[in-house]
Amino acid sequence: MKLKEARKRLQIVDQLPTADSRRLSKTWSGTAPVPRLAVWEITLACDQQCIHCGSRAGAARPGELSTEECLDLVRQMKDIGVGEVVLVGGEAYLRNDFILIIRAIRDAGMSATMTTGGRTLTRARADAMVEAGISAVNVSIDGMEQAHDRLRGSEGSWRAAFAAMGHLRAAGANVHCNTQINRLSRNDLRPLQRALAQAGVTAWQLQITAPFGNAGDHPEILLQPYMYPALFDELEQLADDADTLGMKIWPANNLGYFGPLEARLRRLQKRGGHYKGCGAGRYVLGIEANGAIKGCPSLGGAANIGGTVREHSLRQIWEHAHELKYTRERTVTALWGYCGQCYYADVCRAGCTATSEPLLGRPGNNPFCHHRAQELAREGLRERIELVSKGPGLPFDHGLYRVITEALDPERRAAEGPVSVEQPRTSRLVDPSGAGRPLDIEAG
Amino acid sequence: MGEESACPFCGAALPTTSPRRSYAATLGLSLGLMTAACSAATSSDDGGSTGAGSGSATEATSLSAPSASTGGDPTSTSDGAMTSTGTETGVDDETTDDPDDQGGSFYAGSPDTSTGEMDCDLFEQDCPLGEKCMPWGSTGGTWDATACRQVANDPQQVDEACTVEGSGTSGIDNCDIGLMCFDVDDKTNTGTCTALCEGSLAAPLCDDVSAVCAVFNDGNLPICIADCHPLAQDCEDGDVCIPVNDGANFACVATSEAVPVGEACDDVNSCAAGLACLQEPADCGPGWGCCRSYCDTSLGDPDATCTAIAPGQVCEPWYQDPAPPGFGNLGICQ
Repeated sequence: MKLKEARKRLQIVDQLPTADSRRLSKTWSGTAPVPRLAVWEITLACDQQCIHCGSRAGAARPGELSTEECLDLVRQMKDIGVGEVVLVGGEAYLRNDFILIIRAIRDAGMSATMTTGGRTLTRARADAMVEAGISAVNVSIDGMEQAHDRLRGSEGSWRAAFAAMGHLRAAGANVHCNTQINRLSRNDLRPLQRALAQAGVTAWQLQITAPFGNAGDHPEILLQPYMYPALFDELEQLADDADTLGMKIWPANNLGYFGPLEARLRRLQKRGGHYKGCGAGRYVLGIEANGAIKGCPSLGGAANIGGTVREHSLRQIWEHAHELKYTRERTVTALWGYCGQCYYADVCRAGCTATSEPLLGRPGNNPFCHHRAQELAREGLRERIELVSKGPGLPFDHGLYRVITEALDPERRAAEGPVSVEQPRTSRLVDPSGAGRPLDIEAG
Repeated sequence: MGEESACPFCGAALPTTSPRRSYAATLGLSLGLMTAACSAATSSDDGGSTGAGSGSATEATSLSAPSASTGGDPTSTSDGAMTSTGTETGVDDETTDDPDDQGGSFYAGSPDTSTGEMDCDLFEQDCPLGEKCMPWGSTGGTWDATACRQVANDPQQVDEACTVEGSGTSGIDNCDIGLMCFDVDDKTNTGTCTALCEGSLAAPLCDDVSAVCAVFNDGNLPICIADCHPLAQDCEDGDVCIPVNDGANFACVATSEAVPVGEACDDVNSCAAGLACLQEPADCGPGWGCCRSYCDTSLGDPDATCTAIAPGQVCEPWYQDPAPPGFGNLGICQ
C-alpha cells in the first residue's frame, strides 16, 4: 500500500476522541495489572544501520502482522486498558499503513505516539501522521552530528533527524526528543541540549545505551559504571539548564537510581519522585512486528515472549503467560550481588531489566546505578564491565558481561588488580526464579 | 511491605505499598465554598470521638451525591466509611504502582501528557526533602489536585499569618510542611497557616482537639478547622458554622454572602449564620439549594421556630440516632 493510498483511506473527521494517556489511573486487583503503555514494533524494516540498535533492525521481520491483524490488535489493546500506544520499528513509517494504525488507536480513545530516527521522515509522512491523529513524536538524536552519524551508521542522519523535527513541527505535531548516552555521545550532551532547545524541543528523554542487540557487540561504546558519578554531575547541570530553557528532562528506566539527583529527575514521572522498579509486564507491554507479546519492549527471546496474538488473545497472554508475570511475581530473593544487599532493594529491584539481563544473563543485579557507584566510591572502589561473549546476532538478543570491582585509585588498581569479579549467571530459561547461579565461564 | 524508609540522599519517602485513593468526596470548595448536598448522616462510631464538636478524627465522608468521576458507585456504609462497588479500588500488596505514576520505556520517550504536576499524598507528605505536598487548583480555580511545593525558609507555623504566591489556590505559600495558608484575602494574598489533616483519608486526624478534619474536593483539601455548634453559632466573627463530612460534623468557615432563610444558595457557606445550605428539598428557586434554619428539638414547641419562618415546616432531627454528645437537640427546619 502506498502512502497516498493509505491517506485516501483515512476518514475525514471533525474531531477525534479525547486521547487517554499512559498514566496509571487505577490500582488493580484480580488476575493482572493494566498495561497502560504499549510499545509496538510494527515493522523491523529500517532505513539506518545503527551500531547500537537493540532490535538489530534492517529488513522487515518475517511474518509481520497484516493491516487487518494490526487493527484487530488495536481493539484488543483498548479492551485490556492500554492508554498510550507507541509505534516503533525499525522505522514505523516504512509501513505506509502506519497512518491507518495511528487513526485506529486514536479512534479507540488511546494516545498514539511514535519514536523514530527520522532518517526519511518527509514532510508528506509528517502531514499524513498529523492527519491521522498522531499525539506526539519522539525523535531519537544521540549526540552531536559526528557521534550521532557514527552511531546511526548513516552519514547525514543527524541533519535528517533535525529536518524531520522541522517537518513534524510544520505539520503541527508535538515533537519530543530522546537521546542515548554512551561513550560517543557522552560529551555532547550540553551542546545537544542547546541545539534541541533551538529546535523547539521541550521534552527530552535520556537513557544509557544498554548492552542488547548490536550495542552488546560494542563494549567500546558502552558507558562504564564507574563513569556514573561524573555523568550525574553533568546531568545536574543539564537539569539546571533545562529549567532555564523551559525543557523537561525525562529519565528513562535505565537512568538512576536513588542518588542525590533522583528526586529532581523523577519528580514529574513518579509520585514521590523516585524510581519504583521495572514496569515491564506491570504497566508496560511490548509487541513485536509478528505479533509476539512480551512484558519488556526492549527484551526478546524465549525468556520474555509470552506468545503471539496469532495463537492467543492479547488478554490471555498478558494475564497468564509466565514470561510476562515475571516482574509481578518476583521478590527480593531474585536480587543478587550488590543489589541483593542494597538499602533500596525492595523498591528498586535492580532497576531496568533490559539493562541488567542483557549484561549479566539474568535480572537482579545492575552496576549501572548512581547510588551504587557513589557508595563504592566512598569505599575507594569502582566497577567496570567486561565482555565475556557476544550474542548470536538476533533481534533483542544479548551476549554476556562480567562485573569487575577494583580500586578507584589508579595506582592501587594497577598494583592490586580486581577486588572481586561477578560472573554472569544462568538465564531465566535455566533457572526461572531466584537469583540463578554463576556461570562457569572457563568451562563454557 | 508497607514500610517506609527515608532516602538518605533524596529525602523522599519510599512507600513500598501504594497509597490507595478510593475516596469519593465531591464537595467543591472554590474561593468561596461551593455548594454541596447535605443530608443528616450518621457519624462514625469510634467511641464517640468523631461526633460534631469532638475536635478529633472523622470518617472521610461526602456531603454530595456519588460522582461519576469517582469510577464506582460510592455508598456510605453504616459506619460512615466510603466504599465503592466499582473495580478501581482493588488492593494488591505486591504492586508498587501508584495511581498517577507515569511509566516509561526505553523506546517510548517522554509522554505527551506529562506537562503538568505530579500528584502527591497530603497525608503521607511524600514529596522530596525540602518540599511539601499541597492542595492546589490545577486549572486556576478551586483546589482540585495536589502537588509538591517548596517549603519556605523560616516558614510560618500554625495560626500565624501567612502569604500566598499568585492566588489562594496556587499551593505556594510560606507555611511549614503540613500547613497551608487558608482563608486567604484575595486582595492582600494573606491568610492564616492552617493544619492539613494527618492520619489517612479513611481516618483523618487533627492535632488540635478543638478542630475537626473537614475533607473537601474529592479529598484534595483535607483541612483542620475549628469545630462549632450550629445552634450556638460559636464561630469567630465573620465565620459561619457549616456542616462538613456528610453532615457528620460542623466547622467554622468564612461566610461568603449571608443569604437569608428560604432563599437560594450556591455555596455551603452562602447562608447567613444559623442557616444551612441544603440541596433537598430545593424549593426556593434557581440555585444549588436553599438556606434552611437550624432548630432546637428540645424546646417545648420545637416546630414553632420553623413555622414562624414558613408555615408547614417542622423541626426534624439533624442526626439519626445516635447523635454525638451535645448534639441530640439539633434539628433542621424542613
